[in-house]
Amino acid sequence: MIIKNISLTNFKSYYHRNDFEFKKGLNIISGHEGSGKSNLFDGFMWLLFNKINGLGKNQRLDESNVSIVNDKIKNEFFIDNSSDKINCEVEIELTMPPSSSFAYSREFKVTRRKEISLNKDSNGKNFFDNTVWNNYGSELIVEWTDEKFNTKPFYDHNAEEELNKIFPEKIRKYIWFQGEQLNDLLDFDNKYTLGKAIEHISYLHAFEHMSNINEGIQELLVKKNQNLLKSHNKDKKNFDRLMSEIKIDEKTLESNKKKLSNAILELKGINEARKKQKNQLTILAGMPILQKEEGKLEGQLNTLKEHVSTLNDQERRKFVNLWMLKGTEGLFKKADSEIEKFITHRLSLAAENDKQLEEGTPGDALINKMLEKKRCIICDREAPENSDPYISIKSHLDSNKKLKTLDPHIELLNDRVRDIKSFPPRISNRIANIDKSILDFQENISSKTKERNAQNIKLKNIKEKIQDLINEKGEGILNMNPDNINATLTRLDNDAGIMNRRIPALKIDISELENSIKQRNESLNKLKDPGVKDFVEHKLTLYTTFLKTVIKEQTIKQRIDLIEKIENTANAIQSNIAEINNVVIVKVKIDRDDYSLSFVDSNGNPNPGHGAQNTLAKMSIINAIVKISSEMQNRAYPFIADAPTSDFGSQFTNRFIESISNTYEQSIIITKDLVEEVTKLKKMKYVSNVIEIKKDSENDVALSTNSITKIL
Amino acid sequence: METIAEKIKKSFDKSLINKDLNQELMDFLSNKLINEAADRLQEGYDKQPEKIAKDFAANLITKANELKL
Repeated sequence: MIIKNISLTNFKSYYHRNDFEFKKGLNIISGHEGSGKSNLFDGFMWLLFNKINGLGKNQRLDESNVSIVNDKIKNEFFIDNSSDKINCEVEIELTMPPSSSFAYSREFKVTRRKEISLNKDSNGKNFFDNTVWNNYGSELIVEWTDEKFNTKPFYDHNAEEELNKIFPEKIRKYIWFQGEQLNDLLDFDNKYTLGKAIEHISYLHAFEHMSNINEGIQELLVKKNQNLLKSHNKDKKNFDRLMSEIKIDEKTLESNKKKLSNAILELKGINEARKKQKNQLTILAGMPILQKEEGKLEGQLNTLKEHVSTLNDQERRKFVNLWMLKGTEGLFKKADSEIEKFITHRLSLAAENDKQLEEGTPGDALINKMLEKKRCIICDREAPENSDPYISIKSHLDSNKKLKTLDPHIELLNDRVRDIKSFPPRISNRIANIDKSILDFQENISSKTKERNAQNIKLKNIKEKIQDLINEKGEGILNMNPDNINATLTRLDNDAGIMNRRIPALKIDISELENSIKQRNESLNKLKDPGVKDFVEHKLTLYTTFLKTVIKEQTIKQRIDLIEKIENTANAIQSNIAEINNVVIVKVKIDRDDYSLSFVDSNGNPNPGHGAQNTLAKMSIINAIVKISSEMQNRAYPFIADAPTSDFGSQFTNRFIESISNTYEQSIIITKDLVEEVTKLKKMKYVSNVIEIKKDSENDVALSTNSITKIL
Repeated sequence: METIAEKIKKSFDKSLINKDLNQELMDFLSNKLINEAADRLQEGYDKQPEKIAKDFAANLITKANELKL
């Protein structure tokens, strides 16, 4: 199947009609964030699922929702007060090759459209409230044309049925894929997800159908044989007894088959209820953890807030004090300078008095020694007795000094100055450190503020998670009682236990009854008149019995083979991509009994992987399923993915894209990851078509550039 | 390209061979069942299995008589 084109008319950011032409092979749609790429993907989603992303998991688009209609055209209609209808439409055209369903290839046109118009009051004026738009709902139309130009349109329910034939429901999720919402679209934790896909791509349904028809044939053959034996037996009495016993067995068998079928259904219901209860327990387990974390963070945050607030107060006070001190810096410098001036002044006064001994003048003992030796030991000159130097030395004897003391006020002041002399330099030194002190303080408060902001973000995230949980599960989650859930779960576990014992017992009963009927039929056959040959109907039951066993074994074999094939294909796809990127992959492992999925390392130990590793593993499963489906069902589906590589680096992305081109007959990859590489991609052998989407900023609408197409 | 019926047949490999039974008749019955199952797989429609079984049983008896089983 090849999707030839898609047109979007007034859908989301697409104003009027916008066409995208696709080719066989790999089509890349590239554009910057906000250019309209995801709206294009939403166009596919709306057309095929009647829902768009961003509305929540599995949520279908409300018919009253007019948000999918382009805003620009709605504004124009509103301003012009137009009476016309706005047509919002998405349409794809695709080609399907001939199949057993139709001899010629067919062109399909699938259209989903919605109309809205302005709702006006009796004076023809627009409403301004939420009734502004008349909403006519949406309709789906599927139309095919064959090579003989026969056409047939289908509407509504019939169109949905036709759409399901083109894109079977069970495989649709594997075809349309949004990388950023991988886990929302495809619930890998749910074992039924893979189970359903395996059922669809395998021949298990075919085997089941074969088995049913075969059993029907066998029943008819047995009945026919019994009817023939009725008129060709040698012991009517025993024949009637055996027939009567067979009838009783058949009645019991029928009743037991019904019981088995009911028991299986009941067990399924019980298991679903158990799953629901367990899910609630998980949610409940998650909620208290989140709430506890919320409380803890709030406590930490309050402490931090107080801390920051205290620091702020301290800072303000300290800042004022320090800056006041800083303001006196000049005064202290001046005081220091004045003190120096005073000291100098006093010394000069003292020097003026020649009688005043300068500091360091020798004492009387030394002077007497100099007089005795008649030599000045300070200037090392001879001082003969009564010479001028001798007289000068002698004059310095205390007894000869005529000290002239300085003004007592100056000396008093000198005493005080001596006391405070060291203060101004000490304070100046401290003032010089004020700047650093302020900076240290600001750094401290900044670090605490950062810590507080980080805690705030953490708290916001926790609150969002709690709100998401409430939004997803409803307010009721706050009132759930784990004791009640556990009690229900225990009761359900008991019920499941009963069913799990009853089902095998019923299967044994059924098997025994079938054997009993078979043996009685054999006994009936032995009552046949000796002259009459075995009836062909009897001989044919050997064929149906043999086939019954073969089909049963084949069903088991096919399941196992298919699981192995999915694992091997997915792991090969991964290895191929990881090989040149030197990345360690996590291998895909599917449980043989319940299809549950797990990831293991090269030694077989559980390893869920992370980031790109995990995304690659999951996407490889998707690719494997679609690839095998194409092989087994003779029908190639396209692969349409939005941002499949958002977790990958550029080299990884290119390799993944190349791998996709090998897996699918047609793939459409919508991505922003390759914007910078568009020119390079256009030259790649494995790329058939590159389309760039750009945003018309002036009109706030999306525009597709002409597609740059290569003919392969 | 192999049809789905051919692929289903191939998946049975040699398990449909039984020396004690007439292989032509076995092939006749298994082919009928496989073709019917392949059709159903592709079409998805639900023909009445009772009616199909009745037709097949009648065809099988005719074939067995032809082969003088």
